[in-house]
Amino acid sequence: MRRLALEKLNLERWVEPARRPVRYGTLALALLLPAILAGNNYFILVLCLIGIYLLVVTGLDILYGFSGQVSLGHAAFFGIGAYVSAMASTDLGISVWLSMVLAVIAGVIVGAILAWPSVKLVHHFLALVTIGFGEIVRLLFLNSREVTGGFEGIGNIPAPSVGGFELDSYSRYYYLVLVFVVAGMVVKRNLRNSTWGRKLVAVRENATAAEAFGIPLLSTRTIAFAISAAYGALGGALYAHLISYISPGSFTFNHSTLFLTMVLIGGYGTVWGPIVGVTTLTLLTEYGQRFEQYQGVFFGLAIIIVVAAMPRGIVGSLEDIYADHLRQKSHRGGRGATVVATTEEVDDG
Amino acid sequence: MEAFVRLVIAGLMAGSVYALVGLSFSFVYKGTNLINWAQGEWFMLGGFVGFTVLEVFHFPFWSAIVIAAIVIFLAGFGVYRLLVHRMVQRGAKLLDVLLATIGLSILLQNVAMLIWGTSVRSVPPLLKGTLSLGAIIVPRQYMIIFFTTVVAVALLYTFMQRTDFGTAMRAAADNPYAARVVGIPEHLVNATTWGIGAAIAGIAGVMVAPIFGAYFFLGLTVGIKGFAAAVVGGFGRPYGALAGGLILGVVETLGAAYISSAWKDGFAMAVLVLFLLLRPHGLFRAEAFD
Amino acid sequence: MKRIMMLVLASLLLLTACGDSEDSSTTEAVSDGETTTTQGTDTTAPATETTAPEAEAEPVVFGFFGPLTGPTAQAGNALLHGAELRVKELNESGGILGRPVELVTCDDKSEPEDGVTCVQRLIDQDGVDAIVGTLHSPIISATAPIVGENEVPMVGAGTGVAWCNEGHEYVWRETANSDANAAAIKQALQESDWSNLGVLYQNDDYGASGAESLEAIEGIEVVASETYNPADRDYSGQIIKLLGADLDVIAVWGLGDTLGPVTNQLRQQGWDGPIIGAEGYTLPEVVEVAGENVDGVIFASLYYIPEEAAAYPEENVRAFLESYVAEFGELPASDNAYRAYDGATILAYAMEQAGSVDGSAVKDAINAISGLEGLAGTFDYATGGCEGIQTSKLWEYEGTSVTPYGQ
Repeated sequence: MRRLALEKLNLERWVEPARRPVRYGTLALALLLPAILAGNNYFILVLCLIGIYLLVVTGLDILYGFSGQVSLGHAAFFGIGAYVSAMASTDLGISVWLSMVLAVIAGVIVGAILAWPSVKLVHHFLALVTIGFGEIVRLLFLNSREVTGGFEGIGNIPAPSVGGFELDSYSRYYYLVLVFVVAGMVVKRNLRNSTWGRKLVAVRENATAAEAFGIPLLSTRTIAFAISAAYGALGGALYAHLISYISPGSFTFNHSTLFLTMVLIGGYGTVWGPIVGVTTLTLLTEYGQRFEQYQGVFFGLAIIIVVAAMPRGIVGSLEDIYADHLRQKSHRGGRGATVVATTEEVDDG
Repeated sequence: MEAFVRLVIAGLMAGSVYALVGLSFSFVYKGTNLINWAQGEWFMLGGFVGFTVLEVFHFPFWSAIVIAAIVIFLAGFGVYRLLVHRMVQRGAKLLDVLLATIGLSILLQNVAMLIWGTSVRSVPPLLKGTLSLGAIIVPRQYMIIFFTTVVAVALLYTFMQRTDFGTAMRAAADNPYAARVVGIPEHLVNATTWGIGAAIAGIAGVMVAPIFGAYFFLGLTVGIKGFAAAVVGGFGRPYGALAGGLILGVVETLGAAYISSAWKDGFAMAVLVLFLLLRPHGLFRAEAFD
Repeated sequence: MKRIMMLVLASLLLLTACGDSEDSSTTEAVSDGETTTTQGTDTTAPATETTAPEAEAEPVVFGFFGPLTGPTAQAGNALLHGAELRVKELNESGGILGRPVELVTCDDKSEPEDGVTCVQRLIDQDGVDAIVGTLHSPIISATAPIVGENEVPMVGAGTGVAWCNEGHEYVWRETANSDANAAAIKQALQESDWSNLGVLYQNDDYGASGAESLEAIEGIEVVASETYNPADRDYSGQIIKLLGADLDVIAVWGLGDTLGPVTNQLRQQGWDGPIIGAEGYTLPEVVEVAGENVDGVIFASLYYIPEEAAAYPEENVRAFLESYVAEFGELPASDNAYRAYDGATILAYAMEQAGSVDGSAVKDAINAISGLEGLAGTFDYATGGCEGIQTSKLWEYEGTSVTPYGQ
C-alpha cells in the first residue's frame, strides 16, 4: 500500500529538478550564515567545528563508505595533522599554509604506511589494527614531552593569514573551513563517479571477484586509506589553528568512535550523509545538555538502532526508498524495462 | 631475579584476565561466526554484580560468582534474542553486528554509570593476604584468577568438542541450513552461546573485582586487550585465547617494568599490530583474510 | 522526498543559526537542596533567591563550566556545588554591588573542544561578567585566550603548573598548584629523614605535573619513577619495579578512582613503608576502596573532606561544610567544592573592590588582592600574580580518619 501511494506521488518529478537548486541553495546558505549570525561568535565557532569534523568524517566515509574498511583510529590522523601543523608553525616558525600542507603530507604518508600491510585484513581485524594504531599515536603525543609538549600540549598556535589579512576571527576562519569542506566534497563526488571510485566499490562488494577482474586490491585500498588520512590530517590542522591550543586529550579512542558514528548515522557512501551525521550529532551534544547523564545512553542506543534498522544511515535509507520507488515504477511500466536506477548511479547532489 | 619472577607472575595474572575475556570473544565467534564487541562490558558488569551481591546484600563470595554468571548469561542471551537475531534474519553480516555491538558497549557503559555511579566500587577478596615463596610475594587472589582461567579454558574446550550441545553449536556455526535440517534449533543454540560467552566474561569480572575494583570504564581497555588476546592466539580457538592473553599480559608487564611504564598500553597494542600485520592467523592458525 | 529532507535540513541549520536561546545555557544542577542556577540569557528574568538586592537591578552573571558528565563527573559536580553555595550566600547578603548574582552553567565533558565552546557560549549567549572555571588544566589553557580576548576574568581550579605561566592576563588560580604540594611533601620528607623517594604517578596532565613538581624540588632525590595509564587498573609491573629500588618512601600522584587500587596493590605487593601523596587522597572513595590500607598515608592538600563537618579543625571551613550539608544533603564528594567556593569569593570581592563588573577593572582588582581569607587560607595575588596561594598543608590518615600531620 505504501508503495502504491509513493508511486502515485511521482517523486522523481520533484526530486530530480530539485537537486541542483538544493545543492546551490545550501551552498548559498552556508555562505550567508556568518552574516545571518552576525556577531554571535559562539554559533560561528560551532559551525567551524562542524565543518572541521565534516572534513574528517567525509574522509572516513571515503574509506568506509566507498571501500568498506572500518577505521576506529581516525582520531590519530586528526591528531597527526594537528600536531604536525602546530609544531611546524610554532617551533619551526614555518608559515601556517605551509604547515598545513606538511600536515596533509604527513597524514598521507602515515596512512599509506598503515594501509599497505593491513588492506588485506578482514573487517574486525582491520578495526583492531586501527585501534592499536590510534592508541600508539596518542601515547606518542603524550609521552614525547620535548617534541610535542606531552601532557602540556602546544599553545599559541598562530592563525593563518591571506596576504596581510589575518584570519583571526571565527567568521573569517569559517570561510576558510568552508572552502576546504566544499572542495573536499566535490573531490569526493568526483572520486565516486570516477573509474577509480567504481573500482573501490567493486572491491568493497566482492574483493575476490574484483581481483579476478584485474582490479589491484592492494593499491586501490591503499590509496583510499591515504586519501582518507589526508582529509583527517587537514581537519586536524584546521582544528589546531582554530582553537590555537592542542593536547593529547583531543585525540582519543572516543573521538575515533564519534567519527565512525557520524558516518553510520548520516549514511555512508553519500555526499550528504556525513553532513547529516555531523550536524545531527553536534547539535545533539550541544543542545542535549539538559540530558547530561543520559547522553551516553542515547548515543549508544542511537548507534544500535541505526545499524540494526537503518544500516545505510539516514541519507542512505532515504536514497533506498527513492531508488525502490523508481525501480517499482519502471517495473510497472511494463516495457520489460531492464534499466533500473541503482543507488550507485543516482546522483545524490 | 626475584623481581623478574614476580613480574612474570603478575603478567600471567593480568594475562589470565585478558585470556578469559578473549575466550569469551572466541567462543562467541566459534559458535555463531559473529563478534560481540561488548564482551568487555560483560566483564565490567560482572564486577558490579559482584559488588552488589557482596557489599549490598552481603552474600558470600561463591554466590557472587554464581549470581553474576546467571545474570550476565541472561543478559547475553537477551541481547542475542532481541537484537542480533533480528539483524541476522534481515541479512546482517558480521560487520553490521560488530558495529551494533559497539553501540551496545557504549550503552552498557553509561547504564552502569547511571546505576552504580562514577566512583570505583571495592570488593573484598576471596583469599586475603599473600603467599610467600622465598622473596617472591604473590597475592593469593592471583592464584584464583589463574586457576579459574585454566579451568575455564579446559572446560570450554571439552564442552565444545565432547558434549552434544557443543557439537550442536559447532554444527550451527559451520552450516546453519544443514543444522536446521537436522533439527538443531539454531537460534536457540546461538542465543545460548552468546549467553555463555557473556557469562565467562562476567565471571572474570567478579574474580578480578577485588584487585581492580568495579568501575564503569573498565570494560573498554580490558575488552580491547581481550579481543587482542583472542586474535593473537588465533581467533576462535580457546587455547589460543589463553596463550594470547598470557603473552599479552607478560609482555605488557615486563615492558612496563624494563622499558617504560608510560608505554605500557603501547606494548600490548604493538604486539597486536605486529601479529595482525605479520601473522594474522594468530599462533594457532585461524581465518584472517577476506 | 529528498527535497523535503533537504528543506528540513536547511531549516534545521537555520533554526540553530538564528539561535534558540532557550536551550542555550543551563544544565539542571544536581542537588538535593535549592539552587540559584537559572536560565541566564534574558536579563529581564531576575534571580530566584534574592532578598536584599533590588529586584530591578541588572544581575551580575557568573559563568561556570566543568566536567559534569564523564569520568571526573564527581569532581565536576562538587566544583559546581561549591560555586552555587557561594552565589547563594552572596545573594542572601545583598549580592554584588547591590545587584543579584546569577550562575549559568555549562558541561565541558572533560573535552577541550567542549570547554572552548562552553566558554564562548557563556560569553556570547549568556553575557557573563566572570567565569568560575574547570578543574582540567589543559582545558584552562585552551580557553584562557578566549577570556583574555573578551576581557572576562576567569578563576581556574586545576593544579597543573603550566597554565599560570603561559602569560594569560585574565586567569587566576583559586587553589594551590602541584609545586606547592610538592614543597609540603618535601617538608614531610625532611622531617622524617627520608631521602630516597620513589614516585608512582598517573600519566596525564594531573599526575605528570605532580611528578615534575617533585623532581624539581631542591633537596629531594627521586630515585625511581613509574607511571600508569589512568584507565588501567593493574599496576603490578610498575610497583614491582619500584620495590626493586632502595626506597625510603613512595609518593603517589593520582586521582580518586585510581588511588584506591594503587594503595591496595602497593600494600598487597609487599610495600610496608610510608606512602605520601597529594589531594587525591582527600576523596572519600579512596578510603572506601582502600579501607585500612590508607592508615599512615601522609598527603599534602590545602583541605580535606572530614567524616563530619564538626570534625574539621578550622572554623571557617566548618561553617562552609555545615552550609554545604544543609544545602545539598551531604558532604562534598571532592575537594573541588572548596576551590570553586573560594573562586567565586575572589571574583565577588574583586568586583566590590573595583566598584564595577568591567573586566579590566576587575582584573586590576584581583591583581591587587592581598590578605583575602578563603577556605584555602590567605590569598595574595599582588605578589603571586596568577598564583594566589603558594603553600599547602600536610595531613595524615590514622586508621581511616584524617588528622593534621604531626599530631
